[in-house]
Amino acid sequence: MNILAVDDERLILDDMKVELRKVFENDEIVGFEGGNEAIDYANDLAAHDEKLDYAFLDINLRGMTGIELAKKLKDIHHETKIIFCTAYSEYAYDAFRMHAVGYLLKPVEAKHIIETLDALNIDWRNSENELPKDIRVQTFGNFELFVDNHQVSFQREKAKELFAYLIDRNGAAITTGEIVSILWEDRPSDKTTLNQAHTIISSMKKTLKELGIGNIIVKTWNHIAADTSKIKCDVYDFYKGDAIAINSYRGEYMAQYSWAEMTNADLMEKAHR
Amino acid sequence: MVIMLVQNNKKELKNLISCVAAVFPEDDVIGFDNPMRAMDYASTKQVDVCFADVEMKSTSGFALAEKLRNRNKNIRINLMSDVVDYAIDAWKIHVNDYLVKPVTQESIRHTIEAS
Repeated sequence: MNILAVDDERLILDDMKVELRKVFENDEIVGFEGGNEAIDYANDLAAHDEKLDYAFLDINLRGMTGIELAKKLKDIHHETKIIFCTAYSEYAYDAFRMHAVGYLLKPVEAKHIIETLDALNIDWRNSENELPKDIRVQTFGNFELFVDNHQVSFQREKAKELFAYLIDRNGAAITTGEIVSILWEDRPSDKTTLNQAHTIISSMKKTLKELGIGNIIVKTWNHIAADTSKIKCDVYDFYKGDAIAINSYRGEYMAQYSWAEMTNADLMEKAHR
Repeated sequence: MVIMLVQNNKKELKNLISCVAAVFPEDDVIGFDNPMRAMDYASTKQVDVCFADVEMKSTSGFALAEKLRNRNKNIRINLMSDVVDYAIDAWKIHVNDYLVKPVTQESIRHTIEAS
């Protein structure tokens, strides 16, 4: 993970880095005294396709406020989690409004950082461990998921179908109601079917988590989506114009699912052009 | 998903229920003007999200938040107030969001984007 710390007072910045090191033992921790240097660093990470995972920002900086800096960092790295570290309480509401995940009063100690990260309900200690898997999805012919070249078997057929649908939606978020209409075409969206949908979501997430790839599903409130940046997939390559992918298409796309026909019609049209 | 709304003022509660129901059309929205009743409800059923007023007659939104957390540690708590003054205390108990009233559909959408 990449972790950024910004404070215009050198000694405080050094202390902060010491505390951060206690929390993030094996991660990259970079500190700056100025906001502009921090932005350069963020741009540099983006240029190398790297994420900025956490930014710990002082608010009273020279030249710009920590709030302004946070907004600029978010423009470059949408997923960065912002934690403000300040001696003052007056920006607490502004911090909520700009979707910060933490607001720590100085002096910042490791235990306060841990408390804040624990409250996020994410597996922040292990987010790095999940990454190196090779995740490949085959959509031409029948739909299958491969992790490190092993075909994945889902505990429930509908959990597999849900995952296929998330792949078909190409990273777009879907609601539980939409899941019901896809998985149980002929049934209304009511308490019973919504509950069944939740069971299917849990089952799918359990299977993926056991494979160490739980983080390819992004869940926000009542929406879920697939993080397509982590997935290799023939149909995505097809749309990018990749010749091998285009040649591997034989007129069948997720053939076991009837809702996939719409995408298949589009593929057929593009393949014959 | 079960969304609980707790707010003493009946008129504000009614408005809040319609705002939240508009943003979450598929979920169960349940409102209480009495925080004790809200607690009773949460002691038997799972609540996933809560919007609670900070200043209420019999208890504070903070005290309620703590009790709800003991029931479900993953609950998303959002506090509401007329003023920004409690925002720093809201950070201390790691709430999901802090909203200044009047709460609108737009502010609830902003809250969702936060996580």
